[in-house]
Amino acid sequence: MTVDVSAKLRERKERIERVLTGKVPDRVPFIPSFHFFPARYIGVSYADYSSDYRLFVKAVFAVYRDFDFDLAGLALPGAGMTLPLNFIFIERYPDLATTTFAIARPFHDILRDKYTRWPGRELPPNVSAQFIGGKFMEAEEYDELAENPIEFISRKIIPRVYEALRDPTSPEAYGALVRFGMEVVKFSGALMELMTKLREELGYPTIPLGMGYAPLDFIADHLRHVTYTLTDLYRYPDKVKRALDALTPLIIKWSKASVSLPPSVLEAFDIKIPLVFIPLHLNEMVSPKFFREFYWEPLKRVIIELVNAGAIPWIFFEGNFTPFLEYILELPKGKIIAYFERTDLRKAREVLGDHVIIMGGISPALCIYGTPEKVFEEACKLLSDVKEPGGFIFAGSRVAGIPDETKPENLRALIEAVRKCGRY
Amino acid sequence: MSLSEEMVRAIVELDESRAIEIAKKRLEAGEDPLKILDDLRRAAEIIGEKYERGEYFVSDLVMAGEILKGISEIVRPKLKELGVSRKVVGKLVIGTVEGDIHDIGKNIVVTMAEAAGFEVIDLGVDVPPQRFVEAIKQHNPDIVGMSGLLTLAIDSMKRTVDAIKEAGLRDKVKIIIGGGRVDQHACEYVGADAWTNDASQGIRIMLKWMEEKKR
Repeated sequence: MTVDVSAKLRERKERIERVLTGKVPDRVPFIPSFHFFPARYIGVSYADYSSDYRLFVKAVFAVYRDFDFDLAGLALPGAGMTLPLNFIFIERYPDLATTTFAIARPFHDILRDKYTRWPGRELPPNVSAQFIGGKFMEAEEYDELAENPIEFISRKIIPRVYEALRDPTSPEAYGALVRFGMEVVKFSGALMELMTKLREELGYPTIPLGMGYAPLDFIADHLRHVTYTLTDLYRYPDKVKRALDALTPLIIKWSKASVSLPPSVLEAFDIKIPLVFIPLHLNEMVSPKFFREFYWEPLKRVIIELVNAGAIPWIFFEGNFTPFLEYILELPKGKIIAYFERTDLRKAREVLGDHVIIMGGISPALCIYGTPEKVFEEACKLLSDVKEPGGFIFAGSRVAGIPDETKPENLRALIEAVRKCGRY
Repeated sequence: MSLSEEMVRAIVELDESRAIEIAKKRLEAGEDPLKILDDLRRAAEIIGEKYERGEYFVSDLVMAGEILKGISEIVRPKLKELGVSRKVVGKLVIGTVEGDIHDIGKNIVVTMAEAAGFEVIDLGVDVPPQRFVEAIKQHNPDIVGMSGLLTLAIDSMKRTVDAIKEAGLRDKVKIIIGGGRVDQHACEYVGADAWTNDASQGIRIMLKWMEEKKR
């Protein structure tokens, strides 16, 4: 590592650590997340980017090289599809439960899951991968799910979701699982290589990252479909409740395992505070009649267990969470990153004060179609309005990071804005 | 309270079994099925208002949609039997734009628009610009609704509006766009007449357009 790179690493590490530990940094840190922007940036198709790990690493590296951020956030060449597989491993093979991180097209080719659609497969080569979910369980099966979630997911859900595993004792299924394992090794290797290159060559600090999920979102995204889950709340509340009671401890165990690192491993990271990314889905949709009991309380249990385990839950509140902001005050102070999408950030600051670290950005449409001047102006306005009294992380835009179609000059304008208007 | 009022109330309170039970009772008693449909419109309107006031949420709209659909399905055979049809307030062609295959939001709009008295032609998901153009030629709608969740949808919406312009049909239709990542910036870029993140506000805008058209 050159002197310049290690100076950069120290500067970024200090900035991130300060914001995570409740101290005011020199300026607001910028943590972007990427989906398909890097593919466009280096001019490769989404299809290739989501299937060729070498290209994926090259593209993401180029973005972090050409633009100056503070931490490498999420860079996902696709959509996730393995949660049911992760969950069934949690009792017997906890290491598999957390390391089978599979967000790329080859996994879709191997498992033939029905959750996701991919560029160059079901979709044209330059359309982003999409998580669609589906209905893989009937309302009558809630009791069975509640009785023994691991058994039910293993025996009923997995064969329905993954075409390659539909007959679990078939040669095809055995082969698919072996191939899946081999692919996980390849993909994790690529991610590891990317992290190392970003650190050694560009000075981006490393930080442990785990995953969490809201129990009701798991039912909606992976078992019953969003629409049916919402109507189940009115039609079969007791059944849903029992299923949530059974699933919540499983999700807690899984997400805690994702950040329970042995001291020797934790030592190897620059920043030793694990983040746990929890992307919420139904959070803005569930009526207050059901919100506390069915959505919030199970999620809160997950969050609190993670905080107690020394991690910082990094919660993405999809949609507009403004009507529910007060609930966030129930979470332990200074231990959460609340990453908002369409929630009014000014209102969030007003309601939440310094209770949580607030994260967010400007309109995605503006990043895509606006002029750099307008992007700079809007980002500056936002920063000046919400950066005080500290505890703010800039995400660029609101769609879980940087929209795929963002103009590179607008991304530059965002960075400029953080430099000029993000100072304390 | 009349059965009509009771049914509207049951729908608004999202009491599915009660609402369906009353609807069946009314049909059995030989009541005009058009009156029942009119009550669905009234119920949807109240639910929409509650949503806009922040009293109701997406889950309430989805549940209300299920109830409205359930009752329409009971009423429809009766209409057919009597050979009557409902007065249509306007015609809407709607679809999720090219490249995007999300449809939960669009489906809510379809149900609410039907309840409000629109004739809805639902083109489904991943609808290319040319299919919107063909549907406009074929169905001659008052309004075109374009839905999408992903940011790429915004560009597809623009291409669709451009295709509609090129076909010389832009003046014939009002265009509304909707979806989680749509906003004023997107609306201006796309060249739509209105935008919304909110199904019931969308219905209100469309009803206002139909009022203006009548004048």
